Amino acid sequence: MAPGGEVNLETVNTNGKINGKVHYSNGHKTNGTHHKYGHDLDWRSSWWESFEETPLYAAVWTYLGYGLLVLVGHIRDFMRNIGIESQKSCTEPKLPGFVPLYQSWESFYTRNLYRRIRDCWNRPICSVAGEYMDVMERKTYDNGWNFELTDKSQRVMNFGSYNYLGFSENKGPCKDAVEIVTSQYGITSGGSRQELGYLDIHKELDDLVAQYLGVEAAMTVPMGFATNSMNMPCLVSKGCLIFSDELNHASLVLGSRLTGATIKTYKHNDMEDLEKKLKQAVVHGQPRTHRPWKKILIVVEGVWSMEGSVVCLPEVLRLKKKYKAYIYLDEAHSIGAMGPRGRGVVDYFGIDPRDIDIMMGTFTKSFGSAGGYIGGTRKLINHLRCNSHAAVYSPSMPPPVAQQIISSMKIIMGKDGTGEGLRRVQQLKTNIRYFRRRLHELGYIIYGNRDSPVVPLLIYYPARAGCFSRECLKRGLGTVVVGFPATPIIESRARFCLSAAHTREMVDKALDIIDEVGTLLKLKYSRMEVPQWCEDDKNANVPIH
Amino acid sequence: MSVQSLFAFFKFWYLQWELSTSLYMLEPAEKAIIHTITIAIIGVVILAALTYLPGHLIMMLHFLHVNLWQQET
Repeated sequence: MAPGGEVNLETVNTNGKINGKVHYSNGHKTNGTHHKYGHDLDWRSSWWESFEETPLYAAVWTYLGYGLLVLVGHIRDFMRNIGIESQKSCTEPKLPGFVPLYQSWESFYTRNLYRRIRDCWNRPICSVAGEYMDVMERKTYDNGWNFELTDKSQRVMNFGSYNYLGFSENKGPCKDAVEIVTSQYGITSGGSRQELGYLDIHKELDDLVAQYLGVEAAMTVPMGFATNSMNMPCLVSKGCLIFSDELNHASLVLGSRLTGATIKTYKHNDMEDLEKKLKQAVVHGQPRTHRPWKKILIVVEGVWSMEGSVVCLPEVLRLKKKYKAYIYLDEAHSIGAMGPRGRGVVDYFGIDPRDIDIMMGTFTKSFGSAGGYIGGTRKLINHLRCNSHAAVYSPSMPPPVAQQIISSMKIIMGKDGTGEGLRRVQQLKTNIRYFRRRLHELGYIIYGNRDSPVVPLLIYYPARAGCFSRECLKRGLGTVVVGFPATPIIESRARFCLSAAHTREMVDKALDIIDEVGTLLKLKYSRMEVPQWCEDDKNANVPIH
Repeated sequence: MSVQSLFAFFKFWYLQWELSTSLYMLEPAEKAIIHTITIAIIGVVILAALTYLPGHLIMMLHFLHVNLWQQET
């Protein structure tokens, strides 16, 4: 079975083996547990990712552009401070002996750079954020300080919402089930898990999530961010070591810091750097005493949403086994969106879920709901149920939210009897490959793995980023543009999130709009040769970039 | 080439200039000031070139014993 390919269930019963590997009936391979290095080369043959280098002229002009903006910003700030111009933002009085509330560069950036193109973000919408959405029109008469809503709204295609499998909809079986549950249970669960807030719907949800992932047990938390930040302190403590990828999400960073363990970062998705640091850690031990670390935890994400890169999970597993570490996999963007059955990166690589110690994910992206989960062995989940802050102090998941997850998960697993789940997973995969290939052909710099559902298109210039967002909205395409604090300062990008709800016509229309705007703004920076893979390739033999 | 396509050409390249130098993001008053300063600097450079370059070039040719005029001295 090729990773990323289909599981051929009808050939399972040929004396129980396919290609010499025994398959279990729930679709998992045994070779996850005796992971010989030779087997890993299987996934490398269908691995393709590109992170093209920034063109020099773009970098130089971007720095010059930022230089001009900072200079103008300082002049305007000076004029505001001495009173020539009125102060339009909230400023704090300079009280002696008090630490300033706002960090000065961040608030300078917000006041002088972000404010000018502020209409590209926080756009109010007045419909469900499905494949189409209604964006309310706003006008600003003082260059971005204040907005006024006009009474018009514009229907645009939605390429900015995390709606990977298209479950963000207000019609259909999920919505009907949620209506029934709302009238039956009400809106709130009324308490925390440990105090009368644990309903039968939560038990059903936990069991279903465990079955979906292929692990022994799972626990769900009503907030995705809190799943990381509140549960990590229960798993590691002072005297442990955490290896965190340098581009990990803020929730993982906060969770790691709250544990009190030592944190070391390694270069993004760079397994040689990680191996070198692991070796050093194991050899030298804790800083002064040189005692061995109590636990070593490697924290990775399935898909990093700003880069579109996918973790080299077989390599991380090999390192984990060699150096006796634990792995914490955050599948916020990859659950539901990757793998032949939509079970995430573990399914994508064909790895046994029992190899991953802690599988975490969120329901916000592919299930059209809210909250997060942690899956693992029964012992781990029992420990978390008793000790986690999220289980003890926060109210448990509202029943309608839980029901939405249950309904959508059942559809993806195929338990509703229709082929809808598999159709959505297939549609998403086709959309991703097609969209990415067409953008590469048109000549844009796209980051990431060819199978990742998040497509960052590099823009570099701050003015072009604002202009791109506005021009796309004018033509009927709603996109998200990301700039400085979330990305490095010269690498502003537009981030497209594909969805199974996008039909081929919508994707074509979006590509036409992007091409029109990209030609107008001269965004075709790519000097790489056009890749040769297509939507149906599972094992394209393309060298790794 | 028609006047329309000439206008479109200049409009396109003016937009590129604005986008590359982030002038696109500035308020109209700031843009006016920066355009004035830019045109002033370019204007001064052109005027200085027109005033001083011919004299400097003739002196340089004389220094290199190059004689562009017909009569030999």
